[in-house]
Amino acid sequence: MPSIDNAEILVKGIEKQTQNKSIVHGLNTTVKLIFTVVFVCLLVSVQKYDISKSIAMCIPIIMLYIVSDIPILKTLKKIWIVLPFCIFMCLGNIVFATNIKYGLLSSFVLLLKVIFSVLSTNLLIMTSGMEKICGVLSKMHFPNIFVTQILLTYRYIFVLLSEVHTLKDAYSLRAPKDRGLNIKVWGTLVGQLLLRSIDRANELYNSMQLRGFSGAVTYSKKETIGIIDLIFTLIMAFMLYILRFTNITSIIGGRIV
Amino acid sequence: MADGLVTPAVAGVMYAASTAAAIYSIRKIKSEDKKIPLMGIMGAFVFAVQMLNFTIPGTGSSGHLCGGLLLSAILGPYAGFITMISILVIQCLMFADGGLLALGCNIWNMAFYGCFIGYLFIYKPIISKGNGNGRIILASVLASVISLQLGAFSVVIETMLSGVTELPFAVFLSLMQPIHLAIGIGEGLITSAVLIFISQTRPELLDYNTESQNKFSYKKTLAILCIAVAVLAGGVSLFASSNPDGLEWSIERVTGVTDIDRDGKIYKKADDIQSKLAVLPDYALPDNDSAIGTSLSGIVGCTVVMVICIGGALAVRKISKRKA
Repeated sequence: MPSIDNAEILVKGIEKQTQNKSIVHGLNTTVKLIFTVVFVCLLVSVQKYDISKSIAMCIPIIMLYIVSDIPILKTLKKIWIVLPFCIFMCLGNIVFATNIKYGLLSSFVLLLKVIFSVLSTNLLIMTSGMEKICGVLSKMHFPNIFVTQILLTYRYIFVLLSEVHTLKDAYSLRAPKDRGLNIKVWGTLVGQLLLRSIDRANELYNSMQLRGFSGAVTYSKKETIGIIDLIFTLIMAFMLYILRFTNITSIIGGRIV
Repeated sequence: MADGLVTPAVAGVMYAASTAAAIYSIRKIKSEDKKIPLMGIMGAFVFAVQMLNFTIPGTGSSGHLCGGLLLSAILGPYAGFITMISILVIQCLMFADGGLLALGCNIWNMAFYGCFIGYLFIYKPIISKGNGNGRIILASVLASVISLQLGAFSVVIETMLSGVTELPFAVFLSLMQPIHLAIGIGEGLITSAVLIFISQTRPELLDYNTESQNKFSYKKTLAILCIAVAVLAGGVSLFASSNPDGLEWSIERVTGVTDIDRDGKIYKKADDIQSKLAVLPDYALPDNDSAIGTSLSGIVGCTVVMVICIGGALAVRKISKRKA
């Protein structure tokens, strides 16, 4: 998990990013969600030594980052969280491979797969936002309780992150030499916050009841599929097919080499 | 676990298992709409508190809260499980922690073991015989350690079945389990501190103190777990039989052969043992450089395509900006 300061910056940054306007931001969320799932499946199914196809599969994501005007290098810095385990696996591949060259190959392919699958998911959230994704899940007949739960958790993350931040700052000012919370205050500090949160949940439930809450949040804004969505689907389907199932990059490279 | 570390087949099987557990949990909590806002806030609470570092005395390291156990103790295992799923979905989407494809694996490894095995089978039976501070600490540490050990073991199995690592099974396991043992003890202690505070100040908030009408059936849960294991095993074996030569296929493409002869007593002995015990077929990497060579033209081709595509994307962005 990132630190509390980074988490707040990240969450607010993503919220801000979803407000931007670009072709990708304007696309139908269902189309983007399906594209992301298909892309990730195709990327991770690339053979472990197939370096050319794994590089080729990264192209659509780089293109979409450029078109949506989201800085890809800045986003790469945010995804460090997945890297330690991935690097551990890559080192294992290098050390335990019978031939170090194949170990390096498989490690590089693995690293690309992890980074670009995470980048594709990040692109989905940064160009759609949590509300729209929940709206799509609801439209896809995911259980209401589940969708409402995600939405409520997401909304309250902002409030509780700021409460935890305040709590951490107050503790740091009283115990500047401590790197973390001391064992003596574990229960009371976190327990108090928990009790406040539960009381807040009861108030929230009462106010939701007064507004006619019946177990599900309704979405008033409906998204339709337009010509741009169809063009995007056709282009991406063509690109993914060419890059994943043909050897076009090897053919082009072979002619040059 | 991140997306690149699992194949679609393994991810699909884990999605099926996690979905079954989620559907069962949703059915169990459907009538309790009062719990929905509490679940939302508790999810955000665990999410935020997991970012606090707790100093583990005598180790010099720090730990985090065990979310699944705490949520189950307050909301009950079913609502706790659904809340953990929502936390994992948000972590995956917002913090790039995990991935859409690996979500099924992460739900199983973190939420299922914590809420069902850790709480229902370990924490609750210990607490039911008396809920003194010592018992809460013992129950929390045991539940946390066992669910984390199971989670770590599942990560090893899922990664090995996906075939993305060259790490031998025993080495991978011996690296993963001890680390998670230490983490489990730390997480258990932190969670017990919070649970002791709650049981002393507002005991009525704890699930096992309020539960009377919704009696938990061990036999029923055990039967469901057995079915889940059978389905999982069936799913995994289907995956194994449908793709028996996936790895060999890639080696064959590089070297032209799928198996390489090896000399030496140790190899022979190892082959004998493997032929008796092997679940997976023989696996060896070729000893030539052709893969690097064949990859070169692919990389050059990729660069050309990439330059063209990126150029196109830049042009699209420029045009759309001009129009705006």
